Amino acid sequence: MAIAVKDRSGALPVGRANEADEARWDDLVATVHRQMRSLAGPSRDLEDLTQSALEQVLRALDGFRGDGELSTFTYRICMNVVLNHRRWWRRWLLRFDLGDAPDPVDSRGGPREVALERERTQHLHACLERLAPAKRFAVILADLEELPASRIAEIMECPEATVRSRLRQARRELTELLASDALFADRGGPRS
Amino acid sequence: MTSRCSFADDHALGSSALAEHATTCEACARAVALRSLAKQTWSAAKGRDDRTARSARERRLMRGVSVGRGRKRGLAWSAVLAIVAVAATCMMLLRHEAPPSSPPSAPQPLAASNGAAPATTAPHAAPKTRGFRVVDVRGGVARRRGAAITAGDALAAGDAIDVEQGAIVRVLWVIDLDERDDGGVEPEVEIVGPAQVDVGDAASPLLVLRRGVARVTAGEVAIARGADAARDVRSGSRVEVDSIAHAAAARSTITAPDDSAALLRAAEAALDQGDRASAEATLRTLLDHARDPDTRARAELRLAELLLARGASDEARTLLEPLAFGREPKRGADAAWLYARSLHAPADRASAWARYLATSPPPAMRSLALVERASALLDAGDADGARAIVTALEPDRASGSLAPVAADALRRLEARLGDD
Repeated sequence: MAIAVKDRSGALPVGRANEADEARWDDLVATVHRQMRSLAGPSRDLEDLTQSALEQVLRALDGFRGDGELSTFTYRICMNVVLNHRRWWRRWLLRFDLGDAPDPVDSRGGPREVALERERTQHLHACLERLAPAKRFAVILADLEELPASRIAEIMECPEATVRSRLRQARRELTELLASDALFADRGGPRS
Repeated sequence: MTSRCSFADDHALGSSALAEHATTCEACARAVALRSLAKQTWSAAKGRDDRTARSARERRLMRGVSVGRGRKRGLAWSAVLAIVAVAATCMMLLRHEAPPSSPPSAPQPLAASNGAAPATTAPHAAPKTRGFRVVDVRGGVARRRGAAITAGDALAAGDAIDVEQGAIVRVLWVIDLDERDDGGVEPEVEIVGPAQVDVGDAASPLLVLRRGVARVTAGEVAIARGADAARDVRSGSRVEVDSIAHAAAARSTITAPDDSAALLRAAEAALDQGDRASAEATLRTLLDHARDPDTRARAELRLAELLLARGASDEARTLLEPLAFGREPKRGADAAWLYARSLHAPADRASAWARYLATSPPPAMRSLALVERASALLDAGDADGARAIVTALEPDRASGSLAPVAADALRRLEARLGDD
């Protein structure tokens, strides 16, 4: 029997009664993985984090009232998983001081371009990491994932005005950080 | 922060107003260029992730295969799905029967605790009244007038909150949108149990901390320590009232088996705050009473870390040795790591790192442990052994899969080998 959890965009069966249901289930897993990748950045624990989030999504689905987007609901869970993980990781880093996992190697493009692109991605994540979590999530969701403020407010469970306030500060701080980063400043146009 | 034009901060990249403004404002043009490059980098990285080995692991995950490194959760997807299906059925049936105007589990509105009529706004809608709101309660229970408080609850002036040991309550100060200053940050505070705190004022963010710890995580909050005058506490700072005395009090009141878990949480919370003395005292008390092997092992590991941090290596090793090489395999790898780090004699260190490597650590830890072992071998005069390890790590370095800290350590080791 396929059970449908309705959201604004239609029905999402969470049972695995047939191939179509299974495909939609795979979509849900892919969505959670993509959201986690956006919020957590290039973490060696990405798969563990995704799996934690999926377990929580499964446990929390019965509390999903269906009055919003399912992806908003999953984004919120991903955000909380990342925040909890970072508290733990911060302490772990203090003890063992390991660096983060390197990005995977892509065979496309010349080696110099690939290396530069990877380096710049790492720098971008490093800049994002320097923002407070609430600001970081706001700027990732708004400017990089291009979600509207209303959905970010739902995900972060705060008023839209708060999202805009955080976003404004996050943009200001991120711009300053990028401007002082050689890999961005060189390509960032004329200095003011 | 510079006082540059902030027009770009208020607008999304695709905004036509921003594009027009940027033609006449150099600062905003530069901000747009930087943000565009960041967006381009972000999109490229997403595309790259999709084309790489990480995607292969992703696909395995999508097929429901457990890929948690070192953590075999053994999640039975089909069983969980069946449970979800039943739960979803119940939910659908309940929704069908419930009247449309009564959404389930709507959070308590801010005005409710003041006796005013409950608002019907959504949880994220603009608040109509200022005050503290509970964002989350974790690690235990917090009570107001004997009743547990939960996320979404509003706190009124005069409310006295009791936070039990190990629990952490996060509260956010919310104000009317009309009164919000444009650059403001909502003040947010974490209250770490055991704690007692009174909500001091309906007009401004004021808390009176009777005992425990309050950490300001965003904005600025006025906090009074007991009867003292309140002072403004900024984000990143904390106020503490007598937490070591409370750890001592907690030690003297252990009665139930559940206290072990609560004490472990309290010790972790104290570690989080950097309060090592309190954490150590709590862990010692726990070890005096706890019988559960897993709880004991966790406590011993934490205590060993604290002992190492303050230089008591001998006592730390007496705790770590049985954990690392015997009775508690679950904590074995962590204990073996700490044990190896606690040793000074090069030959002993080399041997301990070899024993750590035998615990099949994750790749990043393994490469660092290999470098540590090579360094210990070199200290012990075995330069050939050290060189052999460096050679064995070459493929990892060439492929870029070496953790940065291991790569740095390897470079330092090679410099030493070169000197020799």
